[in-house]
Amino acid sequence: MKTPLDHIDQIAACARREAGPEVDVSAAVMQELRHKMFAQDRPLILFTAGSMITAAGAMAYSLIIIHALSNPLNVLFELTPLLGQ
Amino acid sequence: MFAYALHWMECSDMNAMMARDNESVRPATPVFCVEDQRDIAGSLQGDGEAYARLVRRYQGEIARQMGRFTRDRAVLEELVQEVFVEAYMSLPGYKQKAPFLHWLRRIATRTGYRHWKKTARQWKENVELSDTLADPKVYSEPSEAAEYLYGLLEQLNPADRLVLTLLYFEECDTYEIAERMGWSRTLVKVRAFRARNHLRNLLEQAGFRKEAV
Repeated sequence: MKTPLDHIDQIAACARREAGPEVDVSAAVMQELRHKMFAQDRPLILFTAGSMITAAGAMAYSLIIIHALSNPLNVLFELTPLLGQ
Repeated sequence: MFAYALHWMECSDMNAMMARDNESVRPATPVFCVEDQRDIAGSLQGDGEAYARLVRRYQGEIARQMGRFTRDRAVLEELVQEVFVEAYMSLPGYKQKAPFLHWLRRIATRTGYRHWKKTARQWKENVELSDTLADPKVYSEPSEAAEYLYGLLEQLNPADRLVLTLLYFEECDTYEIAERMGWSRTLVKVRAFRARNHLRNLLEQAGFRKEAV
């Protein structure tokens, strides 16, 4: 005479022979990983982009200032003829 | 007297399970696949194709295992995908102390358990078994037997269900369950004992007759 659990053991032995479903998730996994990697790197990408924009702005501003500055020797050359007199 | 006999039977059931565990031989040196080692090294260096090869090599095994956690094809594919994504993220922590498949199985078991815990809101304790579940037949078709067993174990709480799923479907011993879940062996033994008792009670309450089988 079998107990309920003996019977379940018997069913389990049969259930173990069930073949697994066929799946192909490799493409989906790689796509999700690429997405995750991009999401993981996003703060760094944003920081780098922000730094580049700031650096470009600073460079442009300094070029404008350099061009706007007059040559300090000009004053000397302006005075030189007076000294010669 | 009857209670004492029942207690003795339960203890002998547990002792048999423990004896089976002690008999099980743990592999002293795990067997490693050279291709796996090469692909793991490649994946760690950012070679996507190497990891895709690993996924293609083991997706069948993992799908088979995840089939114990859900019968829904779409959910199963999602779970298999989740296992491989998690495995990739944890790959730097893989110390190669066990074969890659064992390590993947551990991640898969935890992923499946997490899925059950998420959906556990639908689970209610002491629910009555449906007529189909209360009347187990002798199954000759593995898919029918698996369907029946899945439905039956679905009536248990996630922890009990996990222990019995691994015992019945995967034929794991308590050592392996403890290793996969990070639980102590004593905890696994106690949970297995309680879960089997719970299952027996469910079946007996549903009118399971010994003569019927």
